[in-house]
Amino acid sequence: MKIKFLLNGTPREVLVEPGENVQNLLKRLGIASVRDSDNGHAFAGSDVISLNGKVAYASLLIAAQIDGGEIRTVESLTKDGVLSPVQSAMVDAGVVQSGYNMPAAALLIDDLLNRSPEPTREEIADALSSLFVRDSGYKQFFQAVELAAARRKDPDYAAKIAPEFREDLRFVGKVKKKVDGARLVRGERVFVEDRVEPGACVMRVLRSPHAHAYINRIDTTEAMRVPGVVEIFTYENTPEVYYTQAGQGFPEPSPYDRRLLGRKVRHAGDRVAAVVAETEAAAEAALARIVVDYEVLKPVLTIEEAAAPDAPIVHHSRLSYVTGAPEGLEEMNRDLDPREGEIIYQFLIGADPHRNIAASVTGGIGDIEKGFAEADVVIERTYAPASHIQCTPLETHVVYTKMEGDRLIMHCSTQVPFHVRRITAAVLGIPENRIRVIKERVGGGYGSKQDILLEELCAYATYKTGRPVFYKYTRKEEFIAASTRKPMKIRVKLGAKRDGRLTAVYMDLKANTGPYGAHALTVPMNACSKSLPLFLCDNVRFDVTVYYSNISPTGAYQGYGAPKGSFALQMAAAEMADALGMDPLAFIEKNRVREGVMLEILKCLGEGREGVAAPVESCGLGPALEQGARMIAWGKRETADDPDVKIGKGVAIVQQGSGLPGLDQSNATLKMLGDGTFMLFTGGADLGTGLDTVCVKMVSEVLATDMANVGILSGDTDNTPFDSGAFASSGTFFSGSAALLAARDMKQKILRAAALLLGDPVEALEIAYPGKVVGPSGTLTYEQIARRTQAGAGIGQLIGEGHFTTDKYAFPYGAHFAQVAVNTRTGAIRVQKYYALMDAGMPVNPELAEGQIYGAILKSLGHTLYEGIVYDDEGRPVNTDLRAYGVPMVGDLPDDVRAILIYTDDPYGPFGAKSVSEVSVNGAAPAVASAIHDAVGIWLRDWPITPEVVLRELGKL
Amino acid sequence: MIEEVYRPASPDEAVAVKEREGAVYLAGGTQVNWAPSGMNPAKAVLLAGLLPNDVTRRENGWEIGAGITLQDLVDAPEAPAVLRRAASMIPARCVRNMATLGGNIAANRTDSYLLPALIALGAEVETVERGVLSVEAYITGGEDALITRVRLPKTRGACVVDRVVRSSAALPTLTLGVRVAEGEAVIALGCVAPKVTRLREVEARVVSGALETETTVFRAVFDSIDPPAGLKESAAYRRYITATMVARAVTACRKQRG
Ligand SMILES: Cc1cc2nc3c(=O)[nH]c(=O)nc-3n(C[C@H](O)[C@H](O)[C@H](O)COP(=O)(O)OP(=O)(O)OC[C@H]3O[C@@H](n4cnc5c(N)ncnc54)[C@H](O)[C@@H]3O)c2cc1C
Ligand code: FES
Repeated sequence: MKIKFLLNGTPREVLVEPGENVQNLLKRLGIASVRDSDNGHAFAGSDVISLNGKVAYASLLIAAQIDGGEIRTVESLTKDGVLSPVQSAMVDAGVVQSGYNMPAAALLIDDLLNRSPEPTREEIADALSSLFVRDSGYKQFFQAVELAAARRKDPDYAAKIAPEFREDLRFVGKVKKKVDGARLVRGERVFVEDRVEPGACVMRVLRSPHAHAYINRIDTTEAMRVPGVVEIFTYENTPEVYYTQAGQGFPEPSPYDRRLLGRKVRHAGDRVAAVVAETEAAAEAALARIVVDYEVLKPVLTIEEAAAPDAPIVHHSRLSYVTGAPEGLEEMNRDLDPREGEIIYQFLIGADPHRNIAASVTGGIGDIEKGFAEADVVIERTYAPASHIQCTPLETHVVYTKMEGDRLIMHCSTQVPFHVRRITAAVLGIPENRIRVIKERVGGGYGSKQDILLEELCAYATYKTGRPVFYKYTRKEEFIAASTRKPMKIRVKLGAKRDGRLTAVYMDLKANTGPYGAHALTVPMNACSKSLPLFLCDNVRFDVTVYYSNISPTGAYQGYGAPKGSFALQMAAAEMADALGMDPLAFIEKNRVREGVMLEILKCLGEGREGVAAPVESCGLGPALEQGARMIAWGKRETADDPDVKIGKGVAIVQQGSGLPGLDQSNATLKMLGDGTFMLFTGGADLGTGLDTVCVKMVSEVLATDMANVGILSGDTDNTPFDSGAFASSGTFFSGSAALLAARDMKQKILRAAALLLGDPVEALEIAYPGKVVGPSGTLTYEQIARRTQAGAGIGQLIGEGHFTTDKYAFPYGAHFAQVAVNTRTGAIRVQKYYALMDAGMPVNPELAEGQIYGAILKSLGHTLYEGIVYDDEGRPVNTDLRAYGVPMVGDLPDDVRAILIYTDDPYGPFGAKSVSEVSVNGAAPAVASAIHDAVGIWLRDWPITPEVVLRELGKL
Repeated sequence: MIEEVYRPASPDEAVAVKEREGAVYLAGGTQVNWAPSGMNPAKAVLLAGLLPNDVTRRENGWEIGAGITLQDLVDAPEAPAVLRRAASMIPARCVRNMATLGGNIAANRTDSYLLPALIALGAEVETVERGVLSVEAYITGGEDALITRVRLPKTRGACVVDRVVRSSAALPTLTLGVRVAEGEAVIALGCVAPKVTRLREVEARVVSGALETETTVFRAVFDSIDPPAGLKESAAYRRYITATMVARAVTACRKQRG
């Protein structure tokens, strides 16, 4: 049928199927800003439009419904490229991070202000109820709306957004517009899906319905006959190359335990076959016609099942080691079923896969037995933060691959462009110089885009067929075939003197890595290495054992294993304080890490390599604890009007790292252009956190030139130098430092060039704002320097290089305080107050740092209280959509939530900066659980903490 | 995918077209077009603009057009407060802007926020084919008659709507509408059975005065329901929480009445 409607003021007449989904239709009409995050589940709100003056989800509408109507999208807000007051307020308030559904947010706020020019808090929350925000945790939206409301009246209205740091600096530590903010909030074509050209093929993957099975036979004959099907890949026509999907630095500690398509499926959702077709319909039709003969095996779902003596074995594979080998390897490799495939280890990681052990490690300092013998009180508790939680990026995993001549071009949404190139090259068996990886804007990663989950498969398909191929995960695939956090079970034993001093700490950690060993060693180790050093104790020991199982794949997730390790250790500390009759805060104060101490424990906590003891150079825990205690009125008993409601307070201290010293590496190149402006080329991968802005600020600060004069290209393997990627909180510390070093190198080159041009000695010259060199004989602007160095007789273009590696640690710290109301009749838990006081060193982007903290708070509250994949008895995930899985939304934000930046000056970080985002996910679980204890006297040691669990513990159920 | 749509000129014609073509009604479409509903019809009768959407206060109650969107209902000061509150519980404004009152009743979901409220308020629907029916009869009878209006009698006594949700945007664990008046009580619950249901026996005992305290109401409800386990909740918890919430609601109604 033909429909007529107004699209952003322009009359349109379009031929449609009456039932065509309006989000698809708009996309077809060239509107890229109306996106879809959940395949029409009407939850995430990436598809908000305005229909006849009211906001609506495009995916819930069919074409026939908009006939005669008026549709507005975010494009209607921008005039001549200038942002509307709403959009500029959003960028300024720091809410635009990964940005995938920020065009939708802009429409929602615009609609709100049209209805209510000075909205209340409830009205703002109501407006945002249509939007799932995972990255920045909603809080700053309230500020953005206020700012937008004021700017609608006065376009120049400015307000204090966030605290600023160091008066001697111009850009670093100051609130400045995120460099990609405007593009994201305008809804520009910046994501992988926007790169897909007409005529591109699509990929669909046939996924295993069984959690554990052999594939005896696959018949694709009928499927290949479907018109439009280009090729179908199975284990029969793909290389038997083993690799890990973990995007870690080479050589990886993760085992190479999978191939593109194998003969054994190890989880419900594992790859069985990949279809490349010219249309989605053809691909779907082909999937339905592939015949697979499975030999179904018993699945293993939990740590206990995996560890059982007669457990089915997930990887009964042939084992080999690149360096080192365990004893009896030959024996282990005898009489294996070839369908099991192989595992290649780069080095020993304590694996014993034939007993389902993917990795193990043990270590410690001092004498643990002596420590317990010295103790007056010993407690032993087991914690099971076993919820299987998912990253849930708004933009699902996605890739677009195509050939240019004999080169493979990969448009990726990744945290690790260089590892994507390396791993793809290895799988395809071609040199790295035949692959170009372009990291587009990333619509949310949270760790899951540190793993190469679909890129190599799509690349192989393009390489083999020569066709451009687009593959975007459905939301369901995101739940069944993407990285999740490893479920864990942690036994903690503590010994302490009567005065509260810890004499011994023991942690026995068991983790479930699922079907493959991505980050099998490092995530569980982080549960120890990012929790144990928070307490100073001479006798510490840990045992880590990681099991394979048949649950959905696990891998990297913001914070790695730290949130679970922190939960166990901080809870044990609270329980010890309770046993000693001590105030938990006093107990923390007695034992906590301090500036200047040497962390001996790090000697045994290297990530797959020898560790070294390291000093704590900066630590803001003291002021964080002091200020937090004051803010929450620590020690004061609160009461509620409702007699059923009891209120309690809890505290936890947290830490993380800033990248991996000795393992990570970042590089940057800075070029002076002909007019004295600059282009920065960095390998760093901004996944929405503001890393590009950090890097630009480094250059602007050193060279005293405005941020507008520094362009940036990042994460393009052809055009930017190597970077190990954005993970382990490395962005600011590593990639930021590389940009800083490149800027310093450029500064020296500018001064030397100016010295030649002015005839002054270099020592007599100074860089001055804005963008000039001042010396005894005069002043040269950067433009003058550029023109003359790049002229026929010039010394050549000035190019600065920055290369950053380090063996120095910079630990971000924090204190989290929660006030929680527990209803003893309904079990309902309400987080009334949540204060996160974070020492991120010098916050380079203060408003974005706050946003990272707010995002982390809400996310970790979700992990603690609501979220988790549920499996049926056969090991199939059953809640594979955002609503049923249980992500928190604006209505779950604590009544009073505050992120406070505690300033410290780290000697090793760029301008004193440390990391901020990961560390902030570590506090919610222990702070909330101990607040619940304070309120009603029960210790909840498992996740999720639900009303039902509360009622059970209270003896009501 | 819907391949054919019809735009009838009147409700009567809508009924005729639906019969003739074997089509479904499409009002807001939030259920019909919603991917997980799995409805996926081939033909649809568009109801937009066809049904009344006004809220009219009458001497003996209210009349509300079935075509009113849930957001317009929330925003209608003249509509009964409990109904407005029930409509506002659907978490997303983008859904409320499209979803209609008639669609919500006809969708007949056990987790509806509106159905327990409507039943508690003693609402009736005007239909084209079947005349006037109580909402309760409409949903228990599995009707699919075209609803044009909803009638609400003047509220007697006090009425409370409430819910239990695991997180703010989750599907509910319980929805309830409770009304207590002189010689009358209604307890309508969602999520405890395949359709929204009433606890008639408990209601009678509330009226008779047999259940005077909150504890006795709790016990009576607890003994009369057998909800299924949820995805993340045990049956025992759902039974307990339902009884607790109903007991609380009955007390609240009694308090409101003074
Ligand atoms: C994200 C999301 C969240 C939701 N949350 C809730 C919730 O919390 N609680 C809840 O109750 N519902 C919820 N719904 C379900 C549903 O959308 C609502 O119940 C809504 O009110 C249905 O109205 P509609 O006009 O959109 O119906 P439609 O989708 O147009 O129709 C629904 C059904 O009713 C029939 N129908 C429509 N109008 C009439 C009429 N006047 N007479 C007879 N039959 C008719 C249709 O043929 C169809 O079978 C949700 C939906 C979505 C997408
Ligand atoms: S239906 Fe709205 S984002 Fe998918």
